[in-house]
Amino acid sequence: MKFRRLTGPAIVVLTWWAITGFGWVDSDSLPSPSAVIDAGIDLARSGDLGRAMLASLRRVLVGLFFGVVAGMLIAVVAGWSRIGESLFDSTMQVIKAVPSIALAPLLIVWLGIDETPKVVLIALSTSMPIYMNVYGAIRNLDSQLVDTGRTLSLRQHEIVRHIVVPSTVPSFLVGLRVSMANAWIALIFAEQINASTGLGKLMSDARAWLRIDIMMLVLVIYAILGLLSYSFVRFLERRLLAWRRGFAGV
Amino acid sequence: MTGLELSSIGRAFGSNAVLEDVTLSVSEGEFVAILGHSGCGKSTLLRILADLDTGHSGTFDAPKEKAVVFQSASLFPWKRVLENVMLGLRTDDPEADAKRVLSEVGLESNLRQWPETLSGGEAQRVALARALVRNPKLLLLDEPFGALDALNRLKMQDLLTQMRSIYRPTTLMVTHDVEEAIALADRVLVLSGGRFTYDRWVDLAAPRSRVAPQFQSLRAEVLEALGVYLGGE
Repeated sequence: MKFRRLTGPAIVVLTWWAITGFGWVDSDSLPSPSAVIDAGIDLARSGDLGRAMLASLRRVLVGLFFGVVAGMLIAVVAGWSRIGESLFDSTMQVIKAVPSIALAPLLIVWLGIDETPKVVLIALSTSMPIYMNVYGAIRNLDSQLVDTGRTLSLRQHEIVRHIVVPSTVPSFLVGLRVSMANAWIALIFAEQINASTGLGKLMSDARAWLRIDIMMLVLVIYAILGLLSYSFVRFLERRLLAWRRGFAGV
Repeated sequence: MTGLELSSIGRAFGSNAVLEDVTLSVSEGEFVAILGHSGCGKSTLLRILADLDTGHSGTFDAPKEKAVVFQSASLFPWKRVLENVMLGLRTDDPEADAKRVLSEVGLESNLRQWPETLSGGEAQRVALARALVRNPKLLLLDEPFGALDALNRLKMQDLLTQMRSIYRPTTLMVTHDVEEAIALADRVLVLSGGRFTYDRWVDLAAPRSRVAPQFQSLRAEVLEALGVYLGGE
């Protein structure tokens, strides 16, 4: 039953295989899975695929890192102290109202065309889900647990570390799922606007040359990366939420 | 200061005065039970003494080493039983101390368990261990067994008596259970209208039999002080 979760994606791939294999659609508009794999092998041999994936992965990881850390820090400050709340919460709500992707052209004007605007864009769009979820979790924290911490003569930073932050982990992980999805979306935007390498660059080149097999390949890679990030969060949930007895479904 | 001295404590929420003039002197090691109708301010009083509520008038003098047990065990669900008891403990060997107290409350084999897997009685025993491991001079109990079933409540009352004989803290227990108050405390008080309206030493020999006539007549007397009249006689 370990691979039960892969049932859905497997059905999609099988359907794709069937549709193209039986010749129900024109192979120019929808190449078969094997054609896409062939394209992948070609690109991998030339080294283009590896370079693109490495560049994209690096952007996502760096952006995600800064986004998650910033979102978490601001959420803890805004959630823990009233001054922090006045300072940050409405600011964050305003930033949330602006789609970060709409900032892409401005970021390029302000920060240039190298890695910085791409990483900043990814960080912006990944910090928000973390902030919203973690801030909400702190506001929902049972105040008696904080009182209990006080009666155990914990110092402020100990209350934050042992009570406030651990209580946010379930919501943090929900936010992280959304953040990871956002990271890939932001990456595509960032790379299609201006990039010398990366998956988005591969995609826009493929579009220019009408290489549908490569476009499909990039989509498949995005899907696999999405699935991997999802299982990474599931792994974190198992490790970090062992204490929680949630409803597991019937 | 090892006893407890309250002088004219008052507390109002908006225009609603919950406590008006609470004055009390408790000597070291004494066990005082405070009874009262819900909303009479007994939990507020406890929160004031625990330094969790600072908006009060009047003054009180209490030892610095205090510990609190609430009605809900208030364990940190993300910490195992042992870590819950050890948290914030600043002794030479917190782990050994926590293990010793946990075995005193009969949980030596539950050290690695997560709080959510404990029964209500077990969780409350962890809470009691977490309070006592700090060797408090003042133990504040806010309806500590109120959420337990009748059988567990009796067991916990025994355990509390037993643990008090080891640690001997001055104890203030808020409860709505008259029998519990008489069975455990040296002194029973009724809080009503923002002040103590009844103050009585429990002069029953230990072990206190709940079916003894003296116990029953004291129970009737305390209930009367609470405005509840039993039928008969």
